[in-house]
Amino acid sequence: MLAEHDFQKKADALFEDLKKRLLNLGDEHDFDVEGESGKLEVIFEEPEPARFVISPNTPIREIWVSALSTSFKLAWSEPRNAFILEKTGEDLYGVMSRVISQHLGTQVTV
Amino acid sequence: MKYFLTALFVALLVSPLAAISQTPSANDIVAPTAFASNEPVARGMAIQVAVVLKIRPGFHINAREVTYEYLIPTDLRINVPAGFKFESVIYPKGTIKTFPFSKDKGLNVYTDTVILRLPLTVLKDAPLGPQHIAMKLRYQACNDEACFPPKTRDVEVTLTVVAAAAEAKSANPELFPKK
Repeated sequence: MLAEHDFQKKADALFEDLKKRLLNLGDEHDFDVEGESGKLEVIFEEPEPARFVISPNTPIREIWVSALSTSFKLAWSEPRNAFILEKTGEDLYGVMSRVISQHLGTQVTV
Repeated sequence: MKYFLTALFVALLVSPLAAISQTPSANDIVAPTAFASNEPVARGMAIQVAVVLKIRPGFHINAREVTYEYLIPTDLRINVPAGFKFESVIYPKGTIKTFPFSKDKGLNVYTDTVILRLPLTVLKDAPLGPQHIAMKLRYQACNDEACFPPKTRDVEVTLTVVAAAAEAKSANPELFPKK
């Protein structure tokens, strides 16, 4: 398991990059992004109101994504050097691409 | 003529596997696993099976819609057991990428993780108990320099059929999130 400081550092860097990518996509696909490294929220008004929450779960060193009534839990993978959803092998960008695409009904790549 | 020459070029790429001898086998490049949206499933239910393809970093496989006719598309065939109805596989769109061997035109490929989806209906007369859904996945794996010969892999998922809808349960929510 990652040391807490190491997890925090990796999560902060990931959240910063994710926020930048989401802000760019939000302009194009009409959704809002709020929050900082402690929690990011993706807010949709269309095609129906929805809120996706991405947050670090420090005690168990996971990144959790709450979206589409589902909780996606990503754990650190040393070989991949990324937080990974074990069942699919997707990283955080892959999971976010999938859930945003499913909500909007169009292909979005984070 | 241009297509013939391109096809010949790709064929030559496929054959000298010595060039990629340091790389893993085609079997190790794609890890396919099947998951069901429900387990157990009830007679009369519409369900989905997701076949998750984890593709090794640095490699790709041709998407379902291939850029050139001579490329081998990703293909999933299902051996539908008695008591199930199946229509067609839902393939995701690929990503257009250019490679050293295809600089003129990008190729439509799958990378990282790809999820193929199979909508299934459990018929009212489906046999009760464990039912095996056998599938054959065919793909062609490549890296930036060369392609492997096409590979066919067996994929299987087991569904337990029950009579009462109340006994059916949702499963694998990360793969089947609801809007």
